[in-house]
Amino acid sequence: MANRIVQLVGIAALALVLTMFAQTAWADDPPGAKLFQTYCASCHGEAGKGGFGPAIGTEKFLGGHDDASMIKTTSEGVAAKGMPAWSKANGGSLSDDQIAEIIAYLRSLSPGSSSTVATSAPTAVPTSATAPTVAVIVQSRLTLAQATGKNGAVVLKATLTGEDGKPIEGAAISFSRATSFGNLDLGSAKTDSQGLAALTVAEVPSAARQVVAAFKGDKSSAASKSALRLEPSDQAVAANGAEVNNAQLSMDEPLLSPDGSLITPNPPLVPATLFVMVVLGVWSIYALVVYQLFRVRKAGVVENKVNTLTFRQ
Amino acid sequence: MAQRFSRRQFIKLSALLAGGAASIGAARGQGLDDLVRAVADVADHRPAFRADAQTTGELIGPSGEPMSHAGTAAAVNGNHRWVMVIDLAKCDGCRECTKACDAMHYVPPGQEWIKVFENRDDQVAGSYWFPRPCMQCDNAPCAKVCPVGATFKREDGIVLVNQDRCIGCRYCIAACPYGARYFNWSEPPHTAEELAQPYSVELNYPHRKGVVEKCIFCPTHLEEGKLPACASACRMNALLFGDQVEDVVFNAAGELFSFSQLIRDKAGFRYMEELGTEPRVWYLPPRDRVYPAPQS
Amino acid sequence: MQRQSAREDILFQPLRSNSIGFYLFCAFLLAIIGWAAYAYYIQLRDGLVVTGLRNYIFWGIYMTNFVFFIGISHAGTLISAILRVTGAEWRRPITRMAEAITLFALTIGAPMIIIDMGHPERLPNLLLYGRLQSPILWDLISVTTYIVGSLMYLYLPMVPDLAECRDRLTDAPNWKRFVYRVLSLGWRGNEEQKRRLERGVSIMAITIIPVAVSVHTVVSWIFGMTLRPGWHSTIFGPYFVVGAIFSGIAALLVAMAIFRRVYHLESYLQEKHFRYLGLLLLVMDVIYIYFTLSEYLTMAYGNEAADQGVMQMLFVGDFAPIFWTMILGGFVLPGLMLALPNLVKNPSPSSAPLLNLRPLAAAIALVVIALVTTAPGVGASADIQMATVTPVLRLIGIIAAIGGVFWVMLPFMQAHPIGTVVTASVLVNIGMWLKRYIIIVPTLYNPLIPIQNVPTEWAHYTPTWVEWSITAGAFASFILLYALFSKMFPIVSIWETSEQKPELPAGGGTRG
Repeated sequence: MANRIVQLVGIAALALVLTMFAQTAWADDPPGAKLFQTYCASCHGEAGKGGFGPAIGTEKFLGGHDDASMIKTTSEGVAAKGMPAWSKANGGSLSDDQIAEIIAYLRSLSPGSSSTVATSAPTAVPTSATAPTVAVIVQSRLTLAQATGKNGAVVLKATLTGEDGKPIEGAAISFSRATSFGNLDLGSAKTDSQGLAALTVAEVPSAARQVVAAFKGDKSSAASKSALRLEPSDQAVAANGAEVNNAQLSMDEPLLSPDGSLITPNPPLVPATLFVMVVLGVWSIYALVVYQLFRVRKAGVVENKVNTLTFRQ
Repeated sequence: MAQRFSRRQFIKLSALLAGGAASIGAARGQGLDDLVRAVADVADHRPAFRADAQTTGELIGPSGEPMSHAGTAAAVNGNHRWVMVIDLAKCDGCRECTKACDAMHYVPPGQEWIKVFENRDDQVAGSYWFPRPCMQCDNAPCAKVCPVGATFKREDGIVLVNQDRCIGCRYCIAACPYGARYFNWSEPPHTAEELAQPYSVELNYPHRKGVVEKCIFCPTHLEEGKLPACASACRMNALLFGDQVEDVVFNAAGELFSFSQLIRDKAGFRYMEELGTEPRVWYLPPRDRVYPAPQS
Repeated sequence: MQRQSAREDILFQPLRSNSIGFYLFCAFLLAIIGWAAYAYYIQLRDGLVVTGLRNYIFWGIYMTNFVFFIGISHAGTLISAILRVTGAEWRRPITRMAEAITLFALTIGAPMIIIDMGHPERLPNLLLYGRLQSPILWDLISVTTYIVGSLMYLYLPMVPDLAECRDRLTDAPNWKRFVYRVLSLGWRGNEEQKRRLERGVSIMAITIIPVAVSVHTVVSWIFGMTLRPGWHSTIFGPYFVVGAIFSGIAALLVAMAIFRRVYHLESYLQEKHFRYLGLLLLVMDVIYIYFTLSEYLTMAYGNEAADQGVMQMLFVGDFAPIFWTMILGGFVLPGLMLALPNLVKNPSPSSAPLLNLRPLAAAIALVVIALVTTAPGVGASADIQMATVTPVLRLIGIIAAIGGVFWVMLPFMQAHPIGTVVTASVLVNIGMWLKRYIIIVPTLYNPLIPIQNVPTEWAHYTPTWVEWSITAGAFASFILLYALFSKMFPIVSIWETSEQKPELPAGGGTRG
């Protein structure tokens, strides 16, 4: 508990310092920048470079998330990760317009991620070296959703659309699961005419899982990526804003539970109590015997006194 | 808490031994509410091992600082339960794992924290190589019998030995069915690098005379997201390591597998399952072997 | 009354003066203890590497000694408490000796565990961090309880004797008189004192029996609670308790014989005491053989893979010599020695000339035993029929030879009943020490994952000089403590023996 408080105080202090630093930049920046500095930078770092929260101003992040998912995350928050829900509809302090401004500001940090320039994702054009002419590559959008299939199996549904909202057909979507050690391949599927690629996950997970659908990009569409948090229950919580990769194993948090306990088993209460009672019982009997000895001594002393008195008389 | 409970009880016993008067004094000093709390603690089944700044032998973190026991468990939805999977079909008995372990932990000569046996289940069946690390049992017999709680089970599944507390009675060695525990019979030979590190339960070194030690799944490697030394040294990729909570294991080649699928598809098993020790090391049967069988 | 006093003077004699022989004896024991202390210093300095123990065979004769001493500590309990509770009058001269064995065996036995520890200076950890589910904690609690209980049980009936010492040994050194005065608690023998003391003794006599049983049960559970072949056995608790009583009686008989000789206690420790205790020893022997058979037959018949290794080692392997010495020499032979003189009548006087030839016949019989048991191994024989027949012939030969020896020795055994019982007791004690060794070590040779690829010294256990020295030191300390005790306090309870009507000294040699 104490650690938690220290942590919160630390975050608050950090936020204050960062806000002061940010003062100078305000005048020139777009409106989203001010809002970002005020509300977001304390966690996500100046210009979204990362801090307590994930780095959301990077090309890598922005390339993998579309505006809709980012707006959704900002509005609704990610309770499990400590991200508050910011929209007024969810009890936050930002209007929808303000959220859109913040997203726009983030996009401005990494122009490639929202433009049609192919260089934003080098892997997006695997054939560019061999292609004699540069094709027009449009940004693609991938959304990932969870459905329930036969026998309660989890079905992952990824929908790939172009920038114009039209579904992209015949694209290979690879599904993977994010773990602390990297991405575990789950399989892949091709999109149908609706832009939909579905994959049935072998089992219902026993704990929360982070699954990722990725489109590598092709001649006409840039790469895109979408993540989804599978909860052990049926409710899947969209967590597109969450950092997917390189979750570091941390030493100080996961190892011990709050009371510092370790799970070495203890003796069950009833036998332990019985045992202690028996031992104490034996020692009480000893005490009783020692008491007899005290009385033996006392009786002797009394008699000595009597003898002495008799002698004097 | 049982440890405090029994300590109190011992104070009482010795007090009685010293004489009735002392006993009364001790009992009065402790107070009724204290006793009630002690009983309630036992009722909670809370573990006996608790780091206590006032006592010697508290848990020490990797860099020598007292280890935090005030972790924020609520936030730890991804707490780890480490598992090892050993693919017997791939192990060719090269013992690189043992060497890597020796190098990583400066293991004293003679000890093999991961020991490669040549197993043969019967005379007709062929033999196969069988690496045996510490099984980090969930129902660890060693932790059960340790009289002072020097051996303890951590929530991430690792069984550690606090060598600041170990009295060297070797009862844990007697209790371990896998022979995974070793005793330092003499002062082990030291190297400068080994001695440069402050002692920590997560390193298990610098080694000392007269205490018990064993494989600990290299917690310092896990902290960095790396494989334990043995698994990263395995050139056959026979040793896989991972997290049961995340349901993933990976090997030195960086291949990831779903732990549960792997164990199910390849009929994985745990060694001496019948003893009920609930090991955290699974084996994949040595079928379709990818190396020549041991010749002996 | 005069006669009574003269008889009691024998008991005070050891307390009055020390012979030069006693000082020499003490010096000899102290020399052994000093040597053991040096050995222990070496062990503390260099670590347990100076023992023959290694990672596989990690418990050895220290643990053997521990179990052995705890075992003989049961002498006091059984003889004194059970006989007192059941009102057996003949117990009176031997209770004090028995109770003293208990106390000193515990005093020496319990620290053997500490000597076995890698970090003895961390012993307080047992109190600071003790965990109730560890059998070592059970042991600690149980042995502590037993030591305190047996100290009280030794002390309580001694109070009137201490008063006697205080009143009669007026020429003793001042410190001795001080000890007597303080410890006798102002005993005047008045009614209330008698009532209180008797109440205390009765309570302790009943309490100490379950405590003693618990001690050896818990000692056995140190082994029984592990998952090792040969240890993980439900019979271990009672098996160890019976063994403890068995070896305890044997130890008591040896101590009685020594005190009888050295302190001239023939009028107190009569032949009947040896005979009665001999019969008790025989009963325990038979029960122990029964337990042993039950334990090993169950294991051998089931023939689990894990047990096979242990059984093989015991019956025909590396430990077979120790095992069969223990079975035949430690259990069967003493049993026969205790039983036969009571079963067979004295030989008729007419066969007296033949008697003189009996020693010769005994020697011949022994040679036959030796020849039969060392005959060329049957395993090498290609002849199947011979291979099956030879062991049977050998068995018959051994039985016949033993029978012959007994037939020959019977008149001598009947003529010397005390000597026979004491010899049997010595054999039993040796056998029981070996038995503890046999329980501990062969199991460690057979871990569940068989020993592979280790240095030879890891896979074999031979006790080193350090271990033998410390063992010798433990036995010397035990004897020294006992001797000093007998010089300080009357070794036979004076008031208890005079409470009963004294018997006339029996004539030497005839059966009482």
